[in-house]
Amino acid sequence: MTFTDTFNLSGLVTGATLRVLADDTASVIVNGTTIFAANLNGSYPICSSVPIGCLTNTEGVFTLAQLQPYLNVGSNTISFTVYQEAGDGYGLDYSGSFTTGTTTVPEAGTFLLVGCGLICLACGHVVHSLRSSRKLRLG
Amino acid sequence: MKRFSLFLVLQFPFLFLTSSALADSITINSSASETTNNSGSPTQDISPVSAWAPAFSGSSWISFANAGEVPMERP
Repeated sequence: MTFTDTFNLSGLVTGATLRVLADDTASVIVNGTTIFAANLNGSYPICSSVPIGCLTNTEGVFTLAQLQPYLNVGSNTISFTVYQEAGDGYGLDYSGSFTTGTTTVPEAGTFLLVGCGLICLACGHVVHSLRSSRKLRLG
Repeated sequence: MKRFSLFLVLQFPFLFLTSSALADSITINSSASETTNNSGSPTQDISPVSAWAPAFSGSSWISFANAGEVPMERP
């Protein structure tokens, strides 16, 4: 059975962490690419004895390096296929955080301000030139 | 040239004042309201089996049913 979470990223991801717990175990799929395949041949004393399991020491932790290649600007889907291999209990728990890069985008007002400044500078230069040539003629 | 230098000096702070920084930070957490599944039954927040680790901060253990003690076959 597969559980899915869909979310949007407003820019290129610069920070990412995803933590996963499951009973018995789970695969993790980011935008259609399996970044972690469940170990279906292990032992299951309570849940998987190796990550991804249901205990703190069998938590699956995924970092920016593992996630970034598969994340998009815009819509993203992370799926978790959860497997029950032995015993009972069936659950999933995950938590992720994603940070997108800081992009400085000058606003229209910035260009207007710079443009006005340049125009004033040019006008000043023209007025100065006219005054200089007038002084020369009068002198 | 002097005037142009003065112009640059005066404009420089405004380049920052009128710029917008586009940064975003989002979190995803397992929950009945956020997570979907393909079982045909809605995702539920469940009480974890006592042996399980506590849920991560902000998230809940979830399942397709109150499946704490229900044996499952491999999908």
